Amino acid sequence: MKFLLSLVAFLGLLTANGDDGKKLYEANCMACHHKTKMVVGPTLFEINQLHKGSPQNLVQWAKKPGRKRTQLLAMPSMAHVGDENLLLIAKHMLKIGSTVTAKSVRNQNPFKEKQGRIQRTFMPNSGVISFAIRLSDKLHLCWDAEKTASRYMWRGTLDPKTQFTSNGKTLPKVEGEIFYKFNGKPFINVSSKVKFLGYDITAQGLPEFLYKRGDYSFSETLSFKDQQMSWVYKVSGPNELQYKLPKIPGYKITASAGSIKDGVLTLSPQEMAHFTINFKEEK
Amino acid sequence: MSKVLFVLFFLISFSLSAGYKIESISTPKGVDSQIGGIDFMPDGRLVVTFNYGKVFTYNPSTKEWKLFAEGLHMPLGVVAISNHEIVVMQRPELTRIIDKNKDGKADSYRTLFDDFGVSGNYHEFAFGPVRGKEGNFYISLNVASNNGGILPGSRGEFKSYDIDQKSLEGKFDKKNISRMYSCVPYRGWVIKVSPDGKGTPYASGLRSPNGLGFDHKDRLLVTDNQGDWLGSSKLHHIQKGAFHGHPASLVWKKGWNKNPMDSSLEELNKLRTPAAAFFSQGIIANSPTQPLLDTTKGKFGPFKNQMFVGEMNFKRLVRFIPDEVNGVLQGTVTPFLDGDALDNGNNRLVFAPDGSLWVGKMHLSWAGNKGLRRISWDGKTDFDLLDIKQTKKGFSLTFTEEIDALKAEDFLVTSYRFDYHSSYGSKRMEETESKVKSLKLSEDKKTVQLELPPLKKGFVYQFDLIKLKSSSGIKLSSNLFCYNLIETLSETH
Repeated sequence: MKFLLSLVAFLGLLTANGDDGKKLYEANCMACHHKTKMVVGPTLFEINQLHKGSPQNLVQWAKKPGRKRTQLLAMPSMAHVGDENLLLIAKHMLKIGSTVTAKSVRNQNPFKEKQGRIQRTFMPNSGVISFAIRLSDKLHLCWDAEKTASRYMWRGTLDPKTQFTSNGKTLPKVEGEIFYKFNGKPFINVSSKVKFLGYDITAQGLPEFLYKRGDYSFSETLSFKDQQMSWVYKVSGPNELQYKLPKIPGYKITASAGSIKDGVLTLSPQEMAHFTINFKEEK
Repeated sequence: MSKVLFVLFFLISFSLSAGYKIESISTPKGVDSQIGGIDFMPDGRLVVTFNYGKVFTYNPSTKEWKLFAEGLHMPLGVVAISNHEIVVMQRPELTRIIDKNKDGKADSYRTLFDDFGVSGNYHEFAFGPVRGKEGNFYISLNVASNNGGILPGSRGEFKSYDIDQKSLEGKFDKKNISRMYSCVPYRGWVIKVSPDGKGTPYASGLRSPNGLGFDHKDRLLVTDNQGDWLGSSKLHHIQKGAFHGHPASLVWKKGWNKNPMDSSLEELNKLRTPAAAFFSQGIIANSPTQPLLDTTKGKFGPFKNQMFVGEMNFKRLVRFIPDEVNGVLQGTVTPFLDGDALDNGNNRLVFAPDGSLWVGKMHLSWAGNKGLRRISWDGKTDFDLLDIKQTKKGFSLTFTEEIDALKAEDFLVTSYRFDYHSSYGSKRMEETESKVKSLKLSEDKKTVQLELPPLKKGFVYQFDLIKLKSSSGIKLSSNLFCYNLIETLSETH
């Protein structure tokens, strides 16, 4: 009986120690050091890589931290927690860190890289052959190469999520207000059979898309200058061209050539050879 | 304890071959260093495609990186055409990227070939290109994974005999489908693309063909990854019009008009061309990548006419030693440069003009890695298997160094086969020891003739030569190799 009691007491002590380490970690460290996700300081996975088998070293570091990563905030001294408690915490952190795989850390911390100004990618609510185009840091446009049309524009940025670092299952996320959406056929009287030919980069760093639709050949240049967007077209084809003008609340949209009736711009073969759609934000 | 011993044995038995030095090359700052394509331009600059779609050039003499192109969608292969033009395989298309004004940065991106389907399923990677002698490009297209659906707004005709398109879009229910599928054109195919962009479906039956390369006889070899219908990963000799085993792609075969999954095993077996090599799962490779012919004329070791194959899971490359029996390519795979110095995730390979081998790494959230390595050889040859050929009574093994004492017990040979079936992977079937009947050493003491019981078609012959030592007492740098036997020489029957 005595033996059993002391065993219970011993086990209790063990659990208490384990629990104490966990509780102390949660109270003092977890805000900055997550198991797998980089928050403010390194993950428990990394900490275990650095101090594996040496909780005492980790205690010393916590009492008088150095600064290895200048891009991060400096860690304050944890000396006030006390050596005994720090050791419990260190043991707990190393134990948890040892259970984590490099893969799970990687998947939790996708590498976020500045995307190309003209970035091909899967996009939400567009065709699978899409482009995310950064007109400015705060203004983006999604262009669909299967429809050869701008599908939407938004004031904001694009979070790549894990589209490029992982297997591509997760779509990028449009962050900000979408103020223009289109899901139709921009050229009314032209065959919808599209052949996308590619693009050149203009002096502005924006695309001049090249494509064919039926008997018509198109060049479509996106321009963004002095906070003003325009779409410049050069089209050749057998007949006139009917173009459905985009509609955006708060924008005045004009065409440099042709005649407009019921929102449809009609251009003769001469006029369609070079025309511009201008978007002016109305104050 | 036995686990520890096993690991210890593993580390010792596959230590890095003497003579090879592996350097890590730093990659551009701020760029995710997963690498989908590498090649050398004629002027000696390396061109590298990274996962976020950026393409950089690297000058090995100045160690300078320069942005060449950007904005590509998961580029998984590149061929340098000139110092100013590259051809890149990205998810949606094969693209010519040209630096027209020759300022070192591309200004023109032209679609060379996009006449294939993209359903939006994440697993539909596009691999290649490699360029044949006649100037044609070859690409390979992954099938879709049953771990994901497709996106609305897919490209190409949707065709399936048992899956509804709408049920794959939006909220995908995994219960609807239990295997890899090819619902848009030419998924699971190799396609030949002429220099002016005309595509011809070339061969079918592939699952995850992450790696193409030509051998010393200009035969196109493509790896494929273990999974459904692949008992173990394979190295295929791709032949025009051939079906290489994974049935999903048959949907797009001319004249085919039924669900390929309803075909009998017998019918599929009759149709398929066997693989040139099996990467036995768990011991040779679990996820082989690009095969690359040793074209260095002896600058990278004595392995003329052999190929090096990348591997994602194990920290190694694999060496493929070809044999040809009755005109059929078959051969042997063996671990190469095993260990931490190389590490895993070895996705793309290219030889530099100086004969060094450059390796680009990738993981895409699976087992793998990041970064770039350069492997160079200083002329020292380790004790290694140089060649292996099937003979009428068994095998002829040639080593890089002399052997004095020949003992039958040093040559442990087992044979087994992998089942061809719809489920994922295969156990080793009918595994038996193939007892050595007799051994004969050549006059130069480098070649051993092994006589074995009659050889069996469709079996892998695995050699474990743990005990074998060279005359100078050195153990084999890789003591494990697997010969895939498709054809036998007549007298073994």
